[in-house]
Amino acid sequence: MQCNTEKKRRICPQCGYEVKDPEKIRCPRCNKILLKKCSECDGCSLV
Amino acid sequence: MDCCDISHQIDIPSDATKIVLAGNPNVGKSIFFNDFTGVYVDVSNYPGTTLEISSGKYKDNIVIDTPGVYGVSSFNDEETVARDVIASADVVVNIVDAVHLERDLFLTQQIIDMGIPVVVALNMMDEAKSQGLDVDIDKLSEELGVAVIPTVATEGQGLAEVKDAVTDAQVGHSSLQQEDELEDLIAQVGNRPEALLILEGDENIAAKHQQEPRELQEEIYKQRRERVNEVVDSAVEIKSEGNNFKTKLAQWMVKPITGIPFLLLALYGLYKFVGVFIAQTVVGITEGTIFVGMYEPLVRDVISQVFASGSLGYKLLAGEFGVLTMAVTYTFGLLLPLVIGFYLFLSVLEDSGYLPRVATLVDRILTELGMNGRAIIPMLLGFGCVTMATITTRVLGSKRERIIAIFLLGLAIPCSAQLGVIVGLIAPLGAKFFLIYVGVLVAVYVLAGTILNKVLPGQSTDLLIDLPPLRIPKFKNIFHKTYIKSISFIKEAGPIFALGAIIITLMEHFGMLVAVQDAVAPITVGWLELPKEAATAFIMGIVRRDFGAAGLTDLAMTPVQTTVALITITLFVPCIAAMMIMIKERNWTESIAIWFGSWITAFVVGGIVAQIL
Repeated sequence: MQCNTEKKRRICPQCGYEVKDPEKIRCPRCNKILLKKCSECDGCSLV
Repeated sequence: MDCCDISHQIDIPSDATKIVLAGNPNVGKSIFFNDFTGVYVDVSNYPGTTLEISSGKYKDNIVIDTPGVYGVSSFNDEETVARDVIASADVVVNIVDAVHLERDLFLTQQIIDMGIPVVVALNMMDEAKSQGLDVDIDKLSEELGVAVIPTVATEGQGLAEVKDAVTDAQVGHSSLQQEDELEDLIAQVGNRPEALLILEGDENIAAKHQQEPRELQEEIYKQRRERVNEVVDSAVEIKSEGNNFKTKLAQWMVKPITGIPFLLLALYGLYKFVGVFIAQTVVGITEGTIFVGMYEPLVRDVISQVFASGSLGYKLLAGEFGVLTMAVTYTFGLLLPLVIGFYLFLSVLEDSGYLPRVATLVDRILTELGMNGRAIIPMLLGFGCVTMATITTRVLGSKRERIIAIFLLGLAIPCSAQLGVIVGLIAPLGAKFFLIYVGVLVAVYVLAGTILNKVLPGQSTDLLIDLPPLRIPKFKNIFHKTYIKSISFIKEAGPIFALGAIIITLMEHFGMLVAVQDAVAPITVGWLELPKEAATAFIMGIVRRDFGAAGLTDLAMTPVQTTVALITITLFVPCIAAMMIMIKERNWTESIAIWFGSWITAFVVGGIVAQIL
């Protein structure tokens, strides 16, 4: 999963939606389960 | 409705109704399109993108296909095209996967919110039923406010009913709570679909109408998601889960008591198929009969016409480590069959839906090693190619997990090519030495993972993974995947093998090989108790690990020496390609630390085993 590290937002790997809410477990748009923690930075992580 | 003029892309008569087919990717849209339009299809390029739009006629109407999308917006080219075509539709036939209603109905609800008449084709009903999903069609239709037609497109069921329903398509129940703001925008923009897109923050559509995009996307998406979840809750019932064999089988695969035997069975199947059938029978023919028996003598004969035997030119091309002899034989005769065999097997596991279940099964064990169940995917892939597996460590949730996974991959997971050679060498020694080899590697793997888990700061992330339904894999997909991956392997490994062959030949020609063998003799002979020539195999292993293992095949060694050599070469440094990827994925410092860590671990562990045995 890639993230928008500048905006500190996770990007859904399935549909490309930028998920602003760090608490979200599924993408609101395509319902894909999102990783809790971004692979590239710690900025948008839950933990 | 005439908001988005797409007539410059497609020739549309002014009085024709535009029927647009829309849906998520892989829901069977093309079957509907072919059924609507028959063979009379136009394909036009869509300006500004590499995409094409297919259109055809159904009675006096124009039917337009769209790329598969999860929602109407402009995140990428597919969505931009789909957005313009959907927004211009008179009627949308929305094809929905009945198995993934929660995912697919978001798009349905968005199109309904746009105020476009919709007919929902609820496809793959057979699969939904086989998975125990009971979809109440009437309830779903009532909740959405549009016609819902159950279909099994692959068998032609329901297609005629969908076509009949198009003429009576209705505008459904909107989920939007910002109707007042939308009405204001409609007054300025002139149509509801584009007004909604501006409300959802679509910058392109806003610019087209000289509007500022509104900041309501997150709020609207949240409301729409909640509405979709409500609709699904009220219309779908998971009926008698576990009643059918497939569901039961899927459950058994993730429970330790039944899942571990399944996993052992899968690994045994992998061993029998790749380790025995491919590595011995197939490679015996490709390497032994074809390349060594027929190809190499022919090449040597031809090259000897040009270069004198024993000259550097001859050695480089057709010598013991020649580019046209050893490199070609190893690449095509030995490694290619092994790689094809492995990817065939892995593709079956992937496409059947078994891999995510293995991830769930081994989650607890891998958490102890600082990763989570997801790491099983790169670990299994590592048995195919460590380089490719290193790339797939991106699926892991944190840097810490990726460092641990990359180190363990480079350290203790033999790739398919190396595995084939190892199996060929260790199988004749009997069960005792095989168990020693496996036991030592597992111990090193667990120990290294546990130590890294303790030493590196942080902790592993939770496993959140979708379990897809079990399916019988399609041969076409499996062969396609295997073909793509095997071609990629040849492209990646071929030049490195050629380079490796040149380096080894030059070292041998100028006496450096013997010098290195003598220099490291205290380690290879004194500590590892191996023949001096084993050093050549280790040097070759730096180029590619399988290259190194293959170099051991020519040495006369006792069973103990063979076992020690194989343990050492397995734990030895990752190949150049894997190293390059490591540097790309991580950085120089971490990669060099992993490289030297592997050197030290390999010789320390190999030496200890040699001293004990």
